[in-house]
Amino acid sequence: MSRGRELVVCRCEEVTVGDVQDAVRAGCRTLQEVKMATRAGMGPCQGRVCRTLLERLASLEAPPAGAAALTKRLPVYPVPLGQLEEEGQP
Amino acid sequence: MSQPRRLTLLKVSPDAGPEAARAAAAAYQDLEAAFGDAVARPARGGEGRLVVVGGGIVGLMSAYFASLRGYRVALVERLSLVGAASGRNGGGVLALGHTLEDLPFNRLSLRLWRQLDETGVRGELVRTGHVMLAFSEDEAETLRSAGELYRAAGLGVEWLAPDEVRRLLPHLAGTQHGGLHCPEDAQAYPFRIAASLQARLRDAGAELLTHTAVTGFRTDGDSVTAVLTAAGEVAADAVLLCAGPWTAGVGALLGLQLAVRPRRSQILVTERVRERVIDPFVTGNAIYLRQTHEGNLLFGGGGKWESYSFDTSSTAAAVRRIATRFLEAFPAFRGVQLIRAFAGTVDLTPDSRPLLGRAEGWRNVCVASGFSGHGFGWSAAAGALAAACVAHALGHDEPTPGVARLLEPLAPCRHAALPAGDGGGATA
Amino acid sequence: MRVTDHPLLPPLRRREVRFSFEGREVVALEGESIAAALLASGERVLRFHERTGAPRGLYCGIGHCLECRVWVEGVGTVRACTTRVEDGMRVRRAGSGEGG
Repeated sequence: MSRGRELVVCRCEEVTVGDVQDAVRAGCRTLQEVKMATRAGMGPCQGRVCRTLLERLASLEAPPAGAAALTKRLPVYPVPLGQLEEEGQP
Repeated sequence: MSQPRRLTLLKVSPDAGPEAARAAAAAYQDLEAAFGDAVARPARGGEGRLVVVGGGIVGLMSAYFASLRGYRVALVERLSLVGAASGRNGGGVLALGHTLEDLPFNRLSLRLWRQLDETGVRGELVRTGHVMLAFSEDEAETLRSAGELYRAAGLGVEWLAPDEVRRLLPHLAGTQHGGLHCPEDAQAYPFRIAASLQARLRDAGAELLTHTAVTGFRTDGDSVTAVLTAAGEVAADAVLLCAGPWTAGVGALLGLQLAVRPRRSQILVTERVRERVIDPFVTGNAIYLRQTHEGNLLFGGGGKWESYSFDTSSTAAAVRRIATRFLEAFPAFRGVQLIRAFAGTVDLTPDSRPLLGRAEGWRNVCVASGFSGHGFGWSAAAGALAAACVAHALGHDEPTPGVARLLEPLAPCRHAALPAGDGGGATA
Repeated sequence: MRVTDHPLLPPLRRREVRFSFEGREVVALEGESIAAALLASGERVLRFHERTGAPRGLYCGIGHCLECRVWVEGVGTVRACTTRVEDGMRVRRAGSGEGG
């Protein structure tokens, strides 16, 4: 199913089904490893959209050792750097 | 002066004199003679299987250099390859900033990183150069003096006046007072180099055992004969401990007191910025920063205020402080969005110098750890040296007198209160 | 999105708002999101992917996916689907830093 491989799973980083399948075939055993190998989940939405797609896709391919969740970090949403500035800077 | 010093990544001592600089230059000659072509023309190893404990960048590099020497290699990693500090660092491959003692090793590392790249072990390595910025006349004076020492030590650095720095960094704040520029320094992408090293190791028949914790060792006198894991025994002719801050725990299984302890270091990363707005690696104002090959701005900085633990949560205070430091240097990027804050754990030693060499009391156990926040840059040299230490331990190769002199202060057990007993380590 | 013929609601009678997108004037209705105004004016490409250059536009429409991000001068990156148009707003495609 050649069109299946071309399907974009992570829109932020344009990671396809094929990219994820290749990563699993190359030895990735957790979602975090798939992320490190493909950049899926590293974009501005930080996996908010693609997380469930990745979990489903990786579990179809991965050996029983399974897929650990993607780590969730702050900020919960992108923040302009200016809003993080400390008050009263010289 | 009124402004506290923020040259946190300038480690060279102000008291270091021309003698120390000359010694550093000579030390690099010794390292280059012994290891300068470790990729293209590796030295000899021998028969035997090396088991590497720890799958970070140092473990992967060491495994690779050992395989180049002809050793069979198995690598055991408790969780994921490059899943800890190796995947959570600034990505700098730097010589500028180091102490004069560490400088020769990091110059060697830069050379070996380039050789790896040239032989197809790619890591998005780019020689962007590195600018260490001054934000006061005080800092400018400090950097100019440091520059003289570095030049005497054989490192090509130049002092840049503010208008010259601005040509390299057009968006830099007007408060800068110039900077020290090292054109040789580079940056790389951890996940690309890790993937490349993994591929080469697999081609060489190495076994990479991830999600496999080490539970102990089988020993016979002063030799380790196998590494015990939850997934079974891994027979070993030699063992290399390079588990970053977890090395102390692994070493304890052999009765070793390895003085590495963890400390958190926090990093921020932004959305991609389409244009190349920051080209060189930049340090100064208490942070390090770069624009990655994908365009994200990445910056961070740790220090004594940080948590001395394995905690990798981000703190609001550090996020605000790091963002503020970045915007002080680059106010133009106030509108760029932070998308993630994360943290890694560095492995600190009491003298901030690595543990690199054979473990006292054991014939065939070596250690490569304690890179104290500079492991990523150090890693190529660490790998070549660790593989050499294994060869020395097994009697397959000998260090030159120059190399032996340079490795002596890095003896892994130098901090222990008592030396490890002869073969007295824990057995399974 | 802009609904002009609704089976139940009366026709829209809202004040016009003028803003610019990539330098060209767009006429919108007060209260609309930037995305709705652009879609009604025939503009579907809100962004080009930062690495591949592929054209991107609305996806989730509810402020979750960040696909619709655009650069508003003087403000920064915003989600077009959840940001209301204002008179004189200067909007450009997102993807770069301080200059938008």
